[in-house]
Amino acid sequence: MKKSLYTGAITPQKIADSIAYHQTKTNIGAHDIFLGQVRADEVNGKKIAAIDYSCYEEMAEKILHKIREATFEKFDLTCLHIYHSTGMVKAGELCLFVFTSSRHRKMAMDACRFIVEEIKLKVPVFGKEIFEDHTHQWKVNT
Amino acid sequence: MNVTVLFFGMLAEVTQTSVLELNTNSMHLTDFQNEVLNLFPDLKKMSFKIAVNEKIVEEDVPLTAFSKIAFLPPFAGG
Repeated sequence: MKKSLYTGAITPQKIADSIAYHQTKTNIGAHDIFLGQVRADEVNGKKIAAIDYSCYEEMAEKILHKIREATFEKFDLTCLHIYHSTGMVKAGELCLFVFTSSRHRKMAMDACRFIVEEIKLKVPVFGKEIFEDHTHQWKVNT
Repeated sequence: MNVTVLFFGMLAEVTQTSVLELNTNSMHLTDFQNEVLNLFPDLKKMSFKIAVNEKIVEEDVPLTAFSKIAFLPPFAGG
């Protein structure tokens, strides 16, 4: 089973490398990429400095795998990559990287949106929002 | 029988433990859930879902000694 959980922030370099790697796959005509970034929200005058992601690892990997399979069934994709951070990700850094590739744009774009929504809804990942003063609160998806 | 109970995120903060072996007489999830809530009354005011053996369960399923019961707070992925 391909692993989707990734320790720490996803670097721009990893994304660039991933794009470069697909340049040999010349049956691809369209990519879509979604990047989730940690926001420095302000709550009661305190700023979020980072999110410490934890998860139910075995279940999260299993569900991410199911989302992959469902996506391939639903959309005519050539390639699909999903990475979600665990551990500490600072504000401004990337915590989610979804990369879909297909012959034409529509499939890549529709699949990318589908995956992001499925992840938000179904994957047991928990986010501890750490404020600059080291206090914290728990993130809840809206 | 002994079952394994897991707590995550803000729930683990409340129970002050992330994994627990519990000896229980409950044969079904609802009874077992009540047992856990009585053990950690603060959980009663929190929102959570339950996964049995890594699968979200909404019905009152039977439990076995191999059941791994996870209490999951609201998801925050992405």
